[in-house]
Amino acid sequence: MKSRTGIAARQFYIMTFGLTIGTSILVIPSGLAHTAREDAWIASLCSLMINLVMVVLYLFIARLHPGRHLFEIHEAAFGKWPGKIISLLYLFYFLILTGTLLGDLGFFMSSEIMPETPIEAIQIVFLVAAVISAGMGVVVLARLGELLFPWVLFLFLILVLTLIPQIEWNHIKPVLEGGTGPVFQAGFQSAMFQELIVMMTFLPLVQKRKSGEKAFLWGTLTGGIVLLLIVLLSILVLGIEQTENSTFPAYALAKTINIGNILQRVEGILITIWILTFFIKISLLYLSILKGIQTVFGLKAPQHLIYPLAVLFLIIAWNTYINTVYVNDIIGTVWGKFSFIFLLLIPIMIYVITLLKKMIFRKNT
Amino acid sequence: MRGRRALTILLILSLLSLTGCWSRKELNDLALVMALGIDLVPEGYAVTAQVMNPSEAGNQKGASSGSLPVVTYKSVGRTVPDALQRMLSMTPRMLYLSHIRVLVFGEALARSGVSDALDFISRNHQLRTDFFLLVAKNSKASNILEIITPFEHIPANSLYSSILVSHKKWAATGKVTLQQFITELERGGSNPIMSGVQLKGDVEEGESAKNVQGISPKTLIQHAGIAVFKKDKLVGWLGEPLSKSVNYTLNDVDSTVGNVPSPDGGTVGFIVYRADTSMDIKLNDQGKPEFTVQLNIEANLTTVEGTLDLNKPSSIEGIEKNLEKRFDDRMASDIREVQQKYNSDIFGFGEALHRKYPKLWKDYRDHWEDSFKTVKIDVHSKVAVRRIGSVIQPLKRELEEK
Repeated sequence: MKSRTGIAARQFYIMTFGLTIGTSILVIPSGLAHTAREDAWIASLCSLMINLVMVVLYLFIARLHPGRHLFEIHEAAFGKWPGKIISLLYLFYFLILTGTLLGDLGFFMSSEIMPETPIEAIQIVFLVAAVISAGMGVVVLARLGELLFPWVLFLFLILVLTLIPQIEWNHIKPVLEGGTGPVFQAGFQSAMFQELIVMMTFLPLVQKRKSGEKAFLWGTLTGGIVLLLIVLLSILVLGIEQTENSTFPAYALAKTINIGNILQRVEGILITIWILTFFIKISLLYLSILKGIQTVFGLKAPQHLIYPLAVLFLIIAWNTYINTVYVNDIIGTVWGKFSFIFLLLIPIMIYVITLLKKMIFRKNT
Repeated sequence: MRGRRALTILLILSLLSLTGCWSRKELNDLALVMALGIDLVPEGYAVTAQVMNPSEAGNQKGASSGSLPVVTYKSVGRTVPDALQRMLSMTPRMLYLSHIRVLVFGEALARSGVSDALDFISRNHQLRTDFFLLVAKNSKASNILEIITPFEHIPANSLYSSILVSHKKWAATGKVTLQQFITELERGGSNPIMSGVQLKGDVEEGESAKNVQGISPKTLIQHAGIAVFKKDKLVGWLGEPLSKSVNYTLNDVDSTVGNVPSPDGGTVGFIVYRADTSMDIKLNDQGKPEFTVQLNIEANLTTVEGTLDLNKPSSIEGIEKNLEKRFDDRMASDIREVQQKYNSDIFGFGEALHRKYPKLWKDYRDHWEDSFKTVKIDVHSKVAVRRIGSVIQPLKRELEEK
């Protein structure tokens, strides 16, 4: 049997994959189509590249700080107290993220699938599952990921295959009408929604460093390809006008599946993929926050913080997700820049500072 | 350990009693709306809903209480959801909109614009996007939904399947879903179409079950060509030949029949079984776009009237040439008629231009409608006659030879 604290590279890969797809799959085509029009899929490709570059940066940081997780790296790079402050900022970022994810889930379920069920009921039931998962720890989550992964892949395959007959190639022409500007802008914006930095909390848990790094990159790549395919299919099947104007484009996409009037009304497939990956994402965030609090405040075990955190998530979900229009506005104008600080700016600072420290250290000796 | 096991068993057992959804709706609490009609009235919208009566619809023979398999309700409200809500004062059950097959607009509403009504249709989560959109020619939508149809128990299903069949075999009707309509509507370089329906016969007589008791029903619902829209407003109707030309141009013809003079003066009937259209754009000397519709058709002969010698390949070539000329002339003049009479680009020539010359399109985007009116469009067809049926020489020729 494997040790109870470590995770295998394969499991790490699956978690990265889940983190990339979770929530993004449902909403991302809309924003991309809005800015990049017919070239949304190129923008998605662009976003995949940016994500890969970010992961490479994270991996460089991880190499400079072997065995340390995200929050320990902060303290090592910036010094004890500034590091703790940076960690707290990250905790705040993760907290808001978890809250909005929960709000997203609630709004989707209550506006498209179960309009009469109170949104709180959906969120609480889901949170209970996340609480249990957080209590069991990352090892159990990793194993659960292994169980879910084949299903996610299988359902995704069905989704793609059933949509192929409806493809209308004219929808993606002309290519690069507005030049590369909007494409890059949209790609950059959407790269800010995969939050791969979360995986830095778990990277040290992977026993073999080399295979862990590989898993991180592969997870980002395959997750990005799934997103790319969803964006491409949204444009090819729905056309830009409807992709752009849908609250949940991927769901609208799944609704159009109709093969010979027999295989139809199977949007449940998409919901299942989404719920499964969403669960992985929210559990990872939960565990990451617990780890962060433990590190910052030097706690022995953060387990008794699970319940208070759950309440906090709910409060944030209810207060940040006021209505769909408000959230879309925030996502469009503020969130990308806000995320940029945590996903790119601080990691770059960490990298530069650590390198400088090393150089000074070397000179002194 | 034992306590844990007991708890597990208890939890699993509790699943049995906890099945059920928060907002479950039993089938016998629902009124399945099969067709929705929307008309314009001074107070707002008049909504007509054709609702299935499951106990009657399930009855194939006998054991019926004599009521019809569908009920049509009508109500008026400022907005479409208002009217639907008000309908609950008459219906014994909750209206359930997920199974709508057709959505019919009254002509008056279509002429004043359908986008406000369509907003509710696309915003509502119950409604899907797979039903067909129709316009009731020269009548209200409510009249169409009040007719009892033969063959199908549920008139909405009858409409739905007749759209499918006539589109596939006749090609003079449109098969327009909400999704297509909205896409065509929102693009700059195209305008949407809808299929039209009209009543043949008397409304009063069509309303009761008597209508389907005679061998030839007094009142029928009939397709009425294609409704041309400019933005979201109906601007006119296309008859059968024009509608066919539109479907050819849109590359939306599966199969259709027609006739053409044969080289010896008789008439030849043909069936198109494959039609493939593509649009080509060239820029002329002044940098203005010129369109060519390239039509590739494969056809079989269905009837040969006259004494044409079908043993000679030149006869078939002659028929092909006549057909090509016929297609070229007819389609070009039909397209010109749409251009000049309605000035609405239902063919999507603008989008084709957009796809091929995105830079040039920027000059045209804002006033495409003005340019479309005068733009040059040619039709170039290529016809191949493949099969001539079970006999070779026409019967008349066989007779004369003896």
